[in-house]
Amino acid sequence: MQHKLRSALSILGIICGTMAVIVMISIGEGARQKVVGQIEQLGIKNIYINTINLTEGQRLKARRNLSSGLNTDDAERIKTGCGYIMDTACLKEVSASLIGVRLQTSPQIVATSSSYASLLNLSLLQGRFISKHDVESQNMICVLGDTVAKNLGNGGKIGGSVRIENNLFKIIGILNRLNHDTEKNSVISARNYNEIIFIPLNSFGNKINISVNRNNNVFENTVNVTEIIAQTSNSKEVVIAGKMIKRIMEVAHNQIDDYQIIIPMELLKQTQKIQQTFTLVLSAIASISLFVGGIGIMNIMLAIVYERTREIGIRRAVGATQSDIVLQFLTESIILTSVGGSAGILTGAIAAGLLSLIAGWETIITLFSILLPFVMSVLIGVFFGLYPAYQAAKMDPVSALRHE
Amino acid sequence: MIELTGVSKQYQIAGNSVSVLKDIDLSIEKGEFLAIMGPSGSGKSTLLHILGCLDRPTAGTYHLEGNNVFDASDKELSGFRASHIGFVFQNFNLIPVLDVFENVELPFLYSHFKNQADFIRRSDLNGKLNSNRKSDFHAQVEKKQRVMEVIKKVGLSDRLKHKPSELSGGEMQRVAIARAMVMNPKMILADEPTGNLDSKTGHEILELFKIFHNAGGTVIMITHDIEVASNAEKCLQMRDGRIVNS
Ligand SMILES: Nc1ncnc2c1ncn2[C@@H]1O[C@H](COP(=O)(O)OP(=O)(O)O)[C@@H](O)[C@H]1O
Ligand SMILES: [Mg+2]
Repeated sequence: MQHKLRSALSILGIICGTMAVIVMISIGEGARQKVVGQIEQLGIKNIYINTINLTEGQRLKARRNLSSGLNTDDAERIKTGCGYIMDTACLKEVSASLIGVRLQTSPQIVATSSSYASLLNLSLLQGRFISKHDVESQNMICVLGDTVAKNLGNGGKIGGSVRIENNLFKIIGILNRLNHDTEKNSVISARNYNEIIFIPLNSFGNKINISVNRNNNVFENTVNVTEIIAQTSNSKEVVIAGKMIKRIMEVAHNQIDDYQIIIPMELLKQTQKIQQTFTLVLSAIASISLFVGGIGIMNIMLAIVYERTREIGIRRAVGATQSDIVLQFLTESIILTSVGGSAGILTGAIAAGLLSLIAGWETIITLFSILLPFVMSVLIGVFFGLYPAYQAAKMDPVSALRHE
Repeated sequence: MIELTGVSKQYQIAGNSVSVLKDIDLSIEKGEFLAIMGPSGSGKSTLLHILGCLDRPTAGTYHLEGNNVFDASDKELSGFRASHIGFVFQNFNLIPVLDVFENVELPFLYSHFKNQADFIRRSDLNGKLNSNRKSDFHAQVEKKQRVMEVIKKVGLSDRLKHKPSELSGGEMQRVAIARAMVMNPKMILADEPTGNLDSKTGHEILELFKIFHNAGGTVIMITHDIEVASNAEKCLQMRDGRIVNS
């Protein structure tokens, strides 16, 4: 066992390799769960159609082409024009502020149609959500997010009211608290439903009249909106439904791109693709260091076998078969690599924890992320230990006994 | 028990083949005490290794209890060494990292279950160890008893935990003899076992071989010492790879 230091050095490669594997998997898993969580909040069956802020030139062109921006008519067209769409919801961001209360953060005020809550799986802690009737009769009611309700204190209870600009809105519901990631996703992120006030879509007097010469304008209460959400019955249909919606919108907006269509499901696929390249790079690093580590193991095992030549001769003389000798040295090499693997897993788990703590990266250590590097280290012990063990076994017993 | 006919052994050295054993005919009976003498390089050790199934002849036949060694597989030869043959060497050949008990226990590691049951049947430890259906635990206990017994026989019961480096030459050779005897082999092959020891210690070691021989074991011993050889029933002289008398 004069080899302690050399053995320790030789397993460094295995330690680094297994460490890379566990860190890689836990970062990947953390990122995946985060994205999945976000996309699930956005709804895997949902398609988003958002307004784009146009430049002055584009706005002129839009006006010339008689496109008046995203509005409730579009929602109706999508619902009737695309068979995959079960329901739509409209949302309008209202730039108005609460009057008479001081809050640390001002809540976002949005006007929505009644279907919004069901499309986004919003559940209520108390009361009810905005109903169809509320929208049609322009009821002055509102639903509060959890944080808003809490911040309003006694005033934030059902039956109370909040004042937005010049209007009093009666509180009819309070949402359940939802976990919200403060970090912004690149293309789209779920709204913070804890810091929100919902009011009925028509209630803030933003009706417009597009009666010029749009023959298919049959809806009376047309309202400009910020976002339309269309929901299919099945997440498999979102891609084809998205294509149909694109066509419907192109016709309705006379080829003016004053909107964008976003399918969360597709975002998931994109992030998965990005992650795949990331995983590929890290696995390349891991396999290189595991390979180098394996060579190190083979090296030390060959040295050990050479130094214990006489011992091999003795064991053969007292009855060890060649396979007994193979087994003996294979066991030693597996012990070496699995000790290295375990050390790598341990340091890797710590490194993953530190990454979350310091860099704020989400990491999740799964059973798989522990088992895979461990199994790999055992297999490396077998693979790179086989040749030295075979060398030991095929020694001539008599010459081995004569060896100094 | 042992039947060699026309056995020869050649080594290839730098393209030339060197004959180390030339056309050896030899038969050894069960329970014999045989000494082999001869000048250095005459092929004594090579013959002993062949007799002990550690090496194979280049030509000729070797029948050990009716089995042709030439045809036997590595596994069969190893099994035979484990259960029927004990080696004792001039330079002791103990494993330095193992203590006395572990060194003596070593052959058990390679005697597979059949041999172990065999061993238990053959040994008359307590007179009632004849059951074939011993539990593993029983086998374990009996193994330990057997190891302790042979260590006691060679007079090292108070050295169980000592490493070879902490023992004298005579003591190391006692450990080696205990290891050779632990499986209750049919024969012990010794290659100049007293060669590294003073004559007093040599005599003590020789006594151990006599005990084994008196219990019915076969002993084949290489020696340079006429006095040591005089203990044997028969003495074989070797020269240049041939047996010159018998
Ligand atoms: N592995 C080997 N390769 C080549 N020559 C060998 C080998 N082993 C032994 N010899 C030669 O065989 C001869 C007999 O050796 P050995 O049997 O050890 O003699 P002894 O034990 O009688 O001194 C010696 O000349 C030795 O050099
Ligand atoms: Mg010799």
